[in-house]
Amino acid sequence: MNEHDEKKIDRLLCDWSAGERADLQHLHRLAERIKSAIDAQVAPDSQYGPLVAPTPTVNAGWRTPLVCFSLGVAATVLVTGLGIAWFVAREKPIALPEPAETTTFAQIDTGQIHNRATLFRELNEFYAGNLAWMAEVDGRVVLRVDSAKIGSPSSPIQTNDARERSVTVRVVVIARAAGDQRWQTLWKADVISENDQFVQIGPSDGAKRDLSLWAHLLPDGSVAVDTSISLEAGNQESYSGVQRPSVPERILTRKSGNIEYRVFQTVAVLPEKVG
Amino acid sequence: MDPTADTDVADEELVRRYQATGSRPHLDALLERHIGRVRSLAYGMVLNHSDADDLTQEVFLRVTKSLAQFKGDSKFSTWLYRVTVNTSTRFLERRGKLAAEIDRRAPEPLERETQGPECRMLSGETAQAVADALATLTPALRAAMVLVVLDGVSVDEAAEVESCTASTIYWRIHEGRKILRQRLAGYLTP
Repeated sequence: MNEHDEKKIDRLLCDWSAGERADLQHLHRLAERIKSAIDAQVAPDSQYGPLVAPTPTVNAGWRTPLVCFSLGVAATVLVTGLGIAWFVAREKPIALPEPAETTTFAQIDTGQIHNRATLFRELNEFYAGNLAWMAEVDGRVVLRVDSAKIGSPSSPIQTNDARERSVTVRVVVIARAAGDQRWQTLWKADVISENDQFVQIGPSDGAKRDLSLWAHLLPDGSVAVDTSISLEAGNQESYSGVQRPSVPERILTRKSGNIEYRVFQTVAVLPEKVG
Repeated sequence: MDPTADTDVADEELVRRYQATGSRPHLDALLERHIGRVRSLAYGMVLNHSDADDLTQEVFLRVTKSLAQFKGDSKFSTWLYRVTVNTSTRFLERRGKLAAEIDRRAPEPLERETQGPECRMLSGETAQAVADALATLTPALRAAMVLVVLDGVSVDEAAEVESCTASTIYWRIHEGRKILRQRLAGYLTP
């Protein structure tokens, strides 16, 4: 969706809202009605006194014993708390993260980000600025060159700089059979695209799975991502969310028959402008 | 002195005075200042004029009850919008309208405020289409759209109202616009 579309939507909503707004007479009548309801709700005596109770004063003669008592209670609570914490620490087995939560395999390091930025920029120059996206999947490199790139990258909530940025997304599917502790990497895709570009990869590109994704750089540096992937034939799973750059996230977990799937995704913003 | 006439007094000061004295004119001043936006927000959420009036009343009754506990951790208006969004969402849940169609009775004719030159009056059919499209948004998306796009609340304040991050609000607005564009494609001017 481009900026022009967004403006049109906002304009339509503004016109609609203006037409639906209650007029001053209506609001005045409503205010009177609410005041009557408040009158019925508020107890008569509370109308003539402070609503917030004054700070209670403590007789000086009581103050010292009160402080001592409070300190005693606090000390008891502290000792009990430490005891419980020690007990819990002793009794509770230390939970080791499952191998699948070790997300290093989905990480994109700084060197890779830099290389991808260079590769995308140079290929884009080669294709006269018409490279919409590129992907490496199932051992193949897929390029999409489009003179009328789908999805114009513009939005009133993004800066001009954001419009010229590119993003890279890594999607990794892992799976294990029931009763098996070991996870295996089943499928991996690396995509580089312009910000706000719709990417679609499927068997016609030589990929074993259908994958579509769209990444949208937000003004605070995070990235909104829509991902749709087929874990099994005819079964498309979707994810929509906001991700922090370079932080792998588990975006989907599915169980089908005796196979358990997990999908991890990492998104990173490429540092240099794509010319 | 009529506190409503003193527009320089901040909301938070009116709250403090009401807390200190329990004097009704301070409460009335807050009501009269905010009733328009609260009702507009409630209407954007429930899309029914009669329900919006009832919810506006419910919001101010809740606020009156809780005002003694208001500590000023956030702006009064932010707190008020949060109460409005929460009350409206609970109302939608009560009526089982979350996923289903909004029960929009025959639109009540409402006297219209004179519009500024920047807004044009929509035809009945277009207005109905916009309301229908808004009704398809989840309460979270709708609240973000109404707060930021219609009421001009900043993204940061909307995030505070909704107890989420600014990124989430940006995301909800983007999603809301995307859905509305699909639903209202035939009504967007070229």
